[in-house]
Amino acid sequence: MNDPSFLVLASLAGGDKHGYAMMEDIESFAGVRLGPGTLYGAITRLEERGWIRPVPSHDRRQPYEITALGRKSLEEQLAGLDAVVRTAIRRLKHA
Amino acid sequence: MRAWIRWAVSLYPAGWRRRYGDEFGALLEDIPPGWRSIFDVLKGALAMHIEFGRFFRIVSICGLAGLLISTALVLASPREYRATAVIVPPRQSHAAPGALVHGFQLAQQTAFSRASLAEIITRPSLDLYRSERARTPMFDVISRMQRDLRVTWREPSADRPRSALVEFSYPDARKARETVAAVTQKLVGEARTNSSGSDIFQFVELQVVREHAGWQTFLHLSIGLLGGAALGALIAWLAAHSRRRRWNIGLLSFAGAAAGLTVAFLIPDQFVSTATLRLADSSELSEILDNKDLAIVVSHAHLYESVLPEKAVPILRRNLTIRELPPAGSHAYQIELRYPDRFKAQAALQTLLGWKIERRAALQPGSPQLDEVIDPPTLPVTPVSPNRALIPCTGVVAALIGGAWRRRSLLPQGVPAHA
Repeated sequence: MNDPSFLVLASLAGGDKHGYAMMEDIESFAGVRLGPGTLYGAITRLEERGWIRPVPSHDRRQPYEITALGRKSLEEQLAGLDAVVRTAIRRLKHA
Repeated sequence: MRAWIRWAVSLYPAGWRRRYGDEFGALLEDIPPGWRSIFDVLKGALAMHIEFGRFFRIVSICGLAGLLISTALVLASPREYRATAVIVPPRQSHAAPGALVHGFQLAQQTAFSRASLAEIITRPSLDLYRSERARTPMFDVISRMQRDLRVTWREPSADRPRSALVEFSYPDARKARETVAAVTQKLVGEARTNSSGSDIFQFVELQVVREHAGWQTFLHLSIGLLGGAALGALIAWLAAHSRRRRWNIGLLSFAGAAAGLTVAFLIPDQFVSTATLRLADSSELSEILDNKDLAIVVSHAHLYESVLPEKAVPILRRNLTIRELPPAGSHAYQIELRYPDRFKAQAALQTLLGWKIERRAALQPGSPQLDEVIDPPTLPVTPVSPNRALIPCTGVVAALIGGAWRRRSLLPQGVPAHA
């Protein structure tokens, strides 16, 4: 759940953002403060896989957007997490 | 703090910095600087090198190559056997312990002289250091044997009497045992000759054990691994921080090797001729270093011909080394003369010792000769300096380090823009 790549995809699912905005957004919904090195490591991997891409900008602060491939990957990961969460909740109720 | 962050950013692979450097720099300006950020950037640099850079591949390959080379060298070196013999003084000896040790060390001077050891080395039944004798002068082979031989005087304890332990290491167990027996017999024989005959050492016990490499093997392998990794890191860093990397590294290595070779061949060879002498008393030592005698040596042996005569004697004195051999008070000295011409080095030492002995005979005609030349002046074959293999290698490493330092100092302040 705290995987930086997953958090970045989740953040970009809500709209284009640059690095600092991603850090703030992730901290607000996940309670995790990613360091700059960790964040850009995740950005590097995600761009290489084609799950995110840079949005043309004149500012030094480069915004990114999630691609269709990235959305699909995020949906698959969330489906898997959802199955885990449901199972755990059900078992806790019956315990 | 920002300077530390900029330095940490410079550790990212060059390709990554070309792509992301500008926007990464903008992010770093937005967040407050701190040690957590610095360590996070360092961690990110490491991750990028592992995943996308060649740095760790080069370091790993060089480290592995170093480990393989050191493993091959360790496996190729022969196993050593250590033979030991124990020599004890007779039970009924009335000599003081100091006198026993003194007598034993006097015996050591003669038993371990070059002539004595050469006789043992060349005995048909032993034929020691055959491969070394085929390619190096006998003087160096004898020096090797002197290093492989150890004599330790042991004080008495609860479980053993006062004794001397003679040790010799050699790849062949039989030869190690027979050599230590031969050396011990010479020591006992010389001790009998030196003493009044009442204190005769006895050869007590002989054993041979196989030496375990143990920690030495671990040390050699570690040096190979770490040395290879360090050289790989240096090369990889240069490759990561230079656009024309192959050209720069190759040029630096060539320049370093060329400079090293030039220096190595410009430095003249130095040969050392060695003699061992026992004097009647230590006051004669100052006579050897007398200016008038040294001036005669300079003139007869034609030393330092390009230097003014009055400057030649101080230069000769600086290149003359006299070392007293144990035991203290035996008046046995090893005299070494260092000179660029090996024939002149030997001739000069022969002139010095011969002149001294002749003068003593002239001053005290009819008196018995009290000085003894244990080992005559040697004719050196191999120069002792410079080390022409080490100097070019040092040149290559120095050039690479200098290139890395120069490159590091040229890195721009702040996050570097596209190179």
